[in-house]
Amino acid sequence: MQIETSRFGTLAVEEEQIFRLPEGIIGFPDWTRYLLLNHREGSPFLWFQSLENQDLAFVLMDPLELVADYPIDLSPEDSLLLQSDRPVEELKALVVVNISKQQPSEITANLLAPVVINTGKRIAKQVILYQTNYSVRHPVPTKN
Amino acid sequence: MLILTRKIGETITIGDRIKIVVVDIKGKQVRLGVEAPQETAIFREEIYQKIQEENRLAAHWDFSQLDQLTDRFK
Repeated sequence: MQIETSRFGTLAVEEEQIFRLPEGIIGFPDWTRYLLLNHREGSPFLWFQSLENQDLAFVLMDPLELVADYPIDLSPEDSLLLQSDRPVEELKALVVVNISKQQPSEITANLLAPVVINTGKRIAKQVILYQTNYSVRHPVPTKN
Repeated sequence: MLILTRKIGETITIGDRIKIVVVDIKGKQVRLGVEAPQETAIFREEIYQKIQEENRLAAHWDFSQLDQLTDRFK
């Protein structure tokens, strides 16, 4: 199927690239279906485009590019929502990337609230790791 | 919203397993103790608001910069 997006134009979408977020992204609870796409070869970034709102998209990245370990402690409610009764390897965390308007050289990632994805069932949720000291604005190191 | 008045040392129980006790009151600040099962999410409302706001900003920056960003990534 094809979808219209304001940032990426028309995209051809495969079923396998579609993820369902029963609770949406925090602050955007009405939009529950997203497309996950790699940015390009060699890029650590991924696009997370809403299928229902063509203007809504996020940039995600693997937190393991930023920290050596990133353990996720899920509550029973979250495990249930993510249908993760199976091996934990099925779960993947990606973090939302932000760029400061005032300081465009500053790129940060939200390590406090990762998007946890069940790659097999294609269900995801943005989970708050409230018992950690992670920052919502963890610096993403750049070359200049 | 249910509004209750409690004195220092008094407790509110929510459901079977959550207890909130008024530990201390100093001027305008109330110190609350919360007992809950380990998996229960307990956080100050402003953390949730902060994440909401961060997501809002993250949805609005100019992605056309993403190619340059990729080149700058270590």
